[in-house]
Amino acid sequence: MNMLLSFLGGLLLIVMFIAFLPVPEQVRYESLSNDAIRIKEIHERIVANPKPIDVAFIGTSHTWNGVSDSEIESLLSTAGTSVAVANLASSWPGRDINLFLIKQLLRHKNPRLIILEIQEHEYRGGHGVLPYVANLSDMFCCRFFLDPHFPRNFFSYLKRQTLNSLTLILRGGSELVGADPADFGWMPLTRTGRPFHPALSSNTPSITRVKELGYVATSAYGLDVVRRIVRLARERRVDVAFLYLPEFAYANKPPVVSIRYYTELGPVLRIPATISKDPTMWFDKAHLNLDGSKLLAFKLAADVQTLLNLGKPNDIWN
Amino acid sequence: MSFASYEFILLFLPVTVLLFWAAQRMSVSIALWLLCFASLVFYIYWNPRDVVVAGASIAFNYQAAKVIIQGGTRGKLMFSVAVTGNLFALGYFKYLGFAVELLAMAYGDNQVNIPAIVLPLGISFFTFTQIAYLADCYAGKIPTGKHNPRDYLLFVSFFPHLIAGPILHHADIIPQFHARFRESRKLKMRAGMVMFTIGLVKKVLIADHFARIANPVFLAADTGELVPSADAWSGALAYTFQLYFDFSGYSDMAVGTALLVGMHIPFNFFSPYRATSIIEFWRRWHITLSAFLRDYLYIPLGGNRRGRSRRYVNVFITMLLGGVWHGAGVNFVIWGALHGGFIVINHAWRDFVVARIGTGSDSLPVRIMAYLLTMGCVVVGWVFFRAHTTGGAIAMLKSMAMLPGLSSTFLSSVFTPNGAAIAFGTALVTGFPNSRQIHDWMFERGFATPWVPMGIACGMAMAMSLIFISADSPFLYFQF
Repeated sequence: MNMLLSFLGGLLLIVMFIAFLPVPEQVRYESLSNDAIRIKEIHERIVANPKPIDVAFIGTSHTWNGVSDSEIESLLSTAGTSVAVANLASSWPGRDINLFLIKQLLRHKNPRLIILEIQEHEYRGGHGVLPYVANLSDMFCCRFFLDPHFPRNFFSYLKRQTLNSLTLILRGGSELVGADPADFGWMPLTRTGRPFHPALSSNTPSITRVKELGYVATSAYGLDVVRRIVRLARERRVDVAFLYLPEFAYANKPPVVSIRYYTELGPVLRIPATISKDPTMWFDKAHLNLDGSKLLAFKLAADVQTLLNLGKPNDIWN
Repeated sequence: MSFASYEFILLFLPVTVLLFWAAQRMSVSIALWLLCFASLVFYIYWNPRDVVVAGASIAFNYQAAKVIIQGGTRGKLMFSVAVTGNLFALGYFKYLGFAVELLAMAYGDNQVNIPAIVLPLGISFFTFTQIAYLADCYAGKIPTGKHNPRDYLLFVSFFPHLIAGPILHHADIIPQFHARFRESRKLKMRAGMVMFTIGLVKKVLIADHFARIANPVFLAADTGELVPSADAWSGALAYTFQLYFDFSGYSDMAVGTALLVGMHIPFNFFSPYRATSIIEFWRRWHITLSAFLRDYLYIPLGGNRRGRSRRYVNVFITMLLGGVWHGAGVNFVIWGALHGGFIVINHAWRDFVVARIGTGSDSLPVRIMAYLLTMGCVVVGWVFFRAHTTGGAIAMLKSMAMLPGLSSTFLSSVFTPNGAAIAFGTALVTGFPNSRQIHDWMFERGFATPWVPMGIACGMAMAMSLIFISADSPFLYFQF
């Protein structure tokens, strides 16, 4: 027993030491690469860019590619509603990163409306990029024991802490790279997926996908974080709505997770059938293309206007 | 699942160990069936389809052994059928694609479809384990009463050795199933934690670091890029250390895991990079494979009983087949042939030179020269072992021989982080006690071992290893 206790003691000592290493926020964001740099762009849009954010779209690459913030902003302006719309979505699912970004948003801006993407299912685990940018309290933001990815993500956090600390030591106090407050927002995809993507020929999900969804639909973690996001926004008197933006095969079907879960928390916006049924509006089986997102902007602009005027959009799930 | 994964370390291993020791309080048999079940879960986690092949192999060999034990003509016939069947299965899964490729090359046919057969994980290991068992049944070393399904299933599928060895001999493990695992339980569990941690550190903190040096160099050589001499040397030496720390790390984790459930399994390494001859190297490297090849190939071929020339031929054939066992590819054949040739030369040197001149072989300068020569041979062999193409291996060796021109940066590159890492690796493999020595030291001292400081050190090392575990870095011997 003494050996086991000393083993656990040694293990805990290292974990605690590394977990509490002070690493400046900017160093964390500098360690991102490839698609994950998007999180840095979003952070800088919120923190460094003085432009306000009235309406924020938050979600995965479905929203990043599918929601044209500039188009919606321009349509709303034409309709007489002057608001700043920001697409703050990034690659890959994982609700904890949504909560992380929403906390920043509420701290640095005064949004009126947050529109949170929902898909055909709730992803069962935490986001893989959160350990790169989070501090210790962010890692334990939610019910981590429900997150099957938590052990991997927590050790990933410790690894980043170690590497970032070494980076700081090796850098020897040289200047950090300054923030780039450019507004990157929406990322349009110009190609149409119809000629080359077989999944766009049928609205029936593939068997493997159905199996996968059946498995991940049990996510208690994702659903719990969604509820936390809504609670946090309400505390700050910010409205929350949901945008159902699933894969092509699911666009005309309700989510695998009961839609009631979301409708009890806020209005759920959906894609018009003119987009969801037309494969030429899609880049691939999961993302809208430029045409699709431009067309969707009309629908979203109208919905946002209604929501901001404290109304209820017409075309919602119920 | 891999030993170096969160699933295994944080969930599978502790749960299995706790359940096993809880179950053995009720009944040894229940505890052993539980280990069989755990082994099944461990294997299914990789790829459920592989279980069909492994299960069929175990069932077939169990039944075959039953018949062989009964002896007579039927037993002899069954032995031939079973060994052929095992070799056929291994040949089909491992070598068919390679054979078709060779034939296509021989006939200059570029259009032939090479069959893409997925190699079931660990097939080389569990096939060899079972062939050895069949051979001992045939030799009458296993009485009828000792052959039972539970022991056989657990002997072959015991998860610590299932995927990448050590290749177990039934005499090493089956007697332990009959309650001997309960002896010195506390001591074994403590030693198991230490051995597992040492293995994990070797893999995650050392081998994976050397991989980052070696991989780009071999990739460049395989794709036809000119590799500077210094880089070629650092790549080849880094791979030399990567392979040792990776494979011996896995073996240490296997030993540690087995100890945690009260079993002893053999060590696979004993400081191979301290060897001063290639013969000694093979007594220290992948010891269980060497023993298997000696007992079930070299000795049946005649060993050293049929004269000197025949002995050399037997050694060469054994090493050549040992090379082919590692994988289907020209480079593995070359690697096996190289080592066969090295050992034959080593034997000839002993037979013709040392036996006649005799003296001076233990002096320090001779030992240093012998060490450098041995390591040179080993490193050259590893270049073929690691490179994906023969051209890539030859390009590496040319660069190492500085044939593209003596690089002016060679000496300065020794004082780079890569050079420091290689110096560190050299110090580790030559100057520190190996895992078996640490294991033996713990068991000799028993409860007088300073367990508390060792526990703290292991806990800290485990934390660092857990932090740097990478899912993209499987154990190298999984591919065999």
